[in-house]
Amino acid sequence: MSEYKSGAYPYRPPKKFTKKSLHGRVRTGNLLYEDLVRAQKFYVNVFGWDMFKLPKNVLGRCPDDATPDVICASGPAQFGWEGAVPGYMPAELIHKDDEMNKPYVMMEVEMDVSLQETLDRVVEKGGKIIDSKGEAGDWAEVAMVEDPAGNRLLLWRCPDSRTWEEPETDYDKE
Amino acid sequence: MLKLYTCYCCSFPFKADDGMLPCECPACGASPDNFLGEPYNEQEIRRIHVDPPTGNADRDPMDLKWHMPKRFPARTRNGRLRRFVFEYDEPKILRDFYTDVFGWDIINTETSNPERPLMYCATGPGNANWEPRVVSFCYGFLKARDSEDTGLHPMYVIEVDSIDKTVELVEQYGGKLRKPAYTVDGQLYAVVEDSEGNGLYLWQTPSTVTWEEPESQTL
Repeated sequence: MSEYKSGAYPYRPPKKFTKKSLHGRVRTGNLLYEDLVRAQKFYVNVFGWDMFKLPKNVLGRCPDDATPDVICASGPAQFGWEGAVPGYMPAELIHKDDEMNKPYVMMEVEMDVSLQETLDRVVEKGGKIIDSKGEAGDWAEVAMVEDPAGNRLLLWRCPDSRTWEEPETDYDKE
Repeated sequence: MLKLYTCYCCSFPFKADDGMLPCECPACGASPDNFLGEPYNEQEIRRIHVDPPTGNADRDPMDLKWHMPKRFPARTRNGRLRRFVFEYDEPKILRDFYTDVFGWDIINTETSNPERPLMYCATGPGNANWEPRVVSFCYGFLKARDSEDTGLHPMYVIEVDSIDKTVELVEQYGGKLRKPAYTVDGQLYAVVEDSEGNGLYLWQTPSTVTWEEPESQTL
């Protein structure tokens, strides 16, 4: 894997993402744990991560109190635990069980079309729906899918609560 | 009526119709009793409605209750989750999938085999050096599955100051070194397994980093 420098290969910047949308951005990296305290000790002491237990209903999940979902700042974070500087993303620790047995990323999708339309497009292009919860609680629409190679993605359609003033919502203005 | 709500506990702002309030603060889980509601007027500049709580440098890092995120030290990117890695069997299929469905900009890395390339993916707005320009999302790689030789199929790249020092800590806290340091395109990597069995690529911060880059900042 390699790092790119301005003026070096590939001799052009990335394309402009001009739509007022976060569609396609990989926003959180999820890792599975069996023993939460052991996992906490590992990531706090090895990588210096900071963590807190997510409220229930975030991203459509309601885990048991003993096996919570834990959001981790892997670098400088805002008070809402989104990243505060570019170039990295938060992580999430998720309890491993029979249903949740494969790491996945959370990717944001279009707010302007229904989640079902995005799912139809995923399937049309060779992906597979693993779990489509539709409306999850009163906060998020999510669906777990796999790409054509079996990589797992939790697709999240942000609710209309977004103000577009949040630093993470910036896009390439034309 | 559409309102801008701000949580008194964590200062997270969100807009919602007052008849469709979430039952908990989406950020910290506080009850709606803690929400400050104001008419929403599409304001162009974020107003600060509630003073963010102050951090506590002495808090127990194992305590999972909501708190202000800690302050990370300057001039280091140690521990940051910097890239995702997806594996492919057939490169064109995955490249077309992410280009067509999610609008990514994907290039082959400079020295990889064109038949089985290591591909690098811009998933959102970026700078000329192919690093994200906006906070809280990642760029990543598409990698041939048959080029993964540890059996762990790591999904993430974590940047570290020193691979040697990190490997010592990995082993001290229940993980394992699974592939010693190796070089790709002049960059130093290693593969470790965490205490839970997840594979991770370690990437050592290159000596060419100037600490002026947006991605090298702290706050």
